[in-house]
Amino acid sequence: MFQTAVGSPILTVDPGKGVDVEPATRAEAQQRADDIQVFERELARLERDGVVRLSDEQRRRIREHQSRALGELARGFDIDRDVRGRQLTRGMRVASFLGALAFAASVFFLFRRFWGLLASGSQAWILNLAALATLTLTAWLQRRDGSGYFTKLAALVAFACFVLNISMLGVIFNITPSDKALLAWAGYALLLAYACDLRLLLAAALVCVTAFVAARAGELGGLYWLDFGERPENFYPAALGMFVTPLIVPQRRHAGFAELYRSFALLALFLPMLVLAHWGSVSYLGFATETVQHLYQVLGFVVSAAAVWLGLRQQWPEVVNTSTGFFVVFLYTKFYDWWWEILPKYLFFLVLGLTALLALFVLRRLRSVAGRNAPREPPA
Amino acid sequence: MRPVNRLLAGAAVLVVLVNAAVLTDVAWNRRGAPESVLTLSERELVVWPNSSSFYADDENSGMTLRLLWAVGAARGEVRGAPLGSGGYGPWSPVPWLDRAKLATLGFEVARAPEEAGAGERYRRMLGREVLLVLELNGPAYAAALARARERAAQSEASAAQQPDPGADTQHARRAREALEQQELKDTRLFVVDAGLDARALRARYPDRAHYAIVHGSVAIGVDTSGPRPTLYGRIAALRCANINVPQRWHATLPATFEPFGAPRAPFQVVLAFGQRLEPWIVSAGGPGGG
Repeated sequence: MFQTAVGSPILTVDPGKGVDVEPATRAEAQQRADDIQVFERELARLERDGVVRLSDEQRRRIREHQSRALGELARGFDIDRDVRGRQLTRGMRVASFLGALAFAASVFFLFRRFWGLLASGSQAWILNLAALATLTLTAWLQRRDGSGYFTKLAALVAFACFVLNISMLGVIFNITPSDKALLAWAGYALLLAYACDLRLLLAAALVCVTAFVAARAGELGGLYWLDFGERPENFYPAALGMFVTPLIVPQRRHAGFAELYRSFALLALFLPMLVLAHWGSVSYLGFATETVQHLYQVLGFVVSAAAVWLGLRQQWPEVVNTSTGFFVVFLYTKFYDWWWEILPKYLFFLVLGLTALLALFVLRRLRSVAGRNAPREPPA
Repeated sequence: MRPVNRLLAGAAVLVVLVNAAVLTDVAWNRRGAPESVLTLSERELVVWPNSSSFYADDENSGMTLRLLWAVGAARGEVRGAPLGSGGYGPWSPVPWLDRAKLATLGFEVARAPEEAGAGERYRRMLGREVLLVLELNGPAYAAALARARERAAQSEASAAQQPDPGADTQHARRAREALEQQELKDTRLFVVDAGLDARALRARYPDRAHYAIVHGSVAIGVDTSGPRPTLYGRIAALRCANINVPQRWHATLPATFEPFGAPRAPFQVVLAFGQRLEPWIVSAGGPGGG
């Protein structure tokens, strides 16, 4: 029995039991391991302050339980048991990403170096087989690689091979460029992202989907599909689609996926707004250029402020951060337009500094309000 | 099957299906008799650099040919960015792309360009995807050549009438050189028409050995250099401008990019355009050998 200093029982520990709730993903397992470490540190503080006093037997049983839980988590998932492990993991993640980029570049330059020596049929076969071979390698590693880093590396190379495959077939057979290639790449990246739990490939998929939807939106407006970037409003349908996707299709089994959908949605919304706030001539709207610019400047402030509010309300930190960033960019670019020419530089930067101070006060106020309204019950 | 395995199997199916779809399209394009077959020379094609350096790139073993085309005016007659010869490239105004023609291609050109606000509206208008007709060594080239001869003759006559014999010589020499360039080196491939219906265009240009229909885009511009702003159309792009050279023809063509204006090795390429209006090289070789 685990008792507080005043003697009321709060927890019964059975060291024979394993992990009570089986984590589904590596992120959940890592969260559980982190919770155990936090608990250990907090318990030590409570004991030092005399809030709680455990017997040696209780301490042993807790340690055994936690050790067993950590062991089970480590067997099932490649988790970090301490800070040092986490630092090394970060290094492995960077190495895996850089390795994938290097391997993808190597495949591209290898093909470029030798493709001219091959007949067209051989070129097509090699491109197809390279895509399938790297996919097979990814599947093979996926079953054996507990850490996931080698699988992720292979998945990124597989995606690069598929992109090379389709784009080079277009070159070899002089095919008229088509936006359908974007859809194929997006589909492939999505399948690999969900199979290997890889956020980088989800990002690649979202870029391809955004380009495809923007191209189709541009075609509806009479544009040639490759000109979709000429009208930034083409990106809005994709932004809406990406924002609602995690609301319609829950992403609980894939840590960070919902956040990525929302972040890309905001980028696809705010970047075109930023462009249109300064170059109104590229808008679909039939108003005068100045009118379009003023409209998007106002919209930029209103929508980014509304998104900050929504992010705070829904507890979406990525929405709060991205929207705050764009709000500041909209504000600073306006300051530049208004005052850069007329104010002395020391005064201009003083105004910027004072604005940052004001933002700090506002955010601190919001934080204290949020702290007062936060639920008191312990997290699940 | 585990969900992960299902996703990976789906990825494999996607790779196979997309490759099959692309290759089926290629086979469909090359099925039956070609839509058109043009016999082009070093005047209409140039070995295009595969790198940004414009010259030999040891890291790239592929070879690309670039189509050189003009828009129906003789050298020096139109403003623009010349690419080897006059009236080339995506910035040259096209004489036959007038307001009426632009309207048939889907452009909204009801407002006169001198109307208030019309200029900005036209400048904001983006290009449209159309079908373009390429004419090889036909009336458009003959007309351009005739105009170049006329300009050269006028310059010679003007130089002869000058009391100071040296005054107009330079002008006459330039006109002579332009004529020589047009006669012997410039492309004979002209974009002569545009439309939205391939069958209608083919009915208008039935000679498949001299007229090819290709995908491209047309854009609109406003010329404000004159007393009144005028509307003009231009060819923004040809989708088949770059043509991949299969390995078996590499040895028959110049190995690297040959700069414009410099003497260029003669060659001949037979280029076919298929059902999807996409080109491929049927044969390539020395002059007359194709």
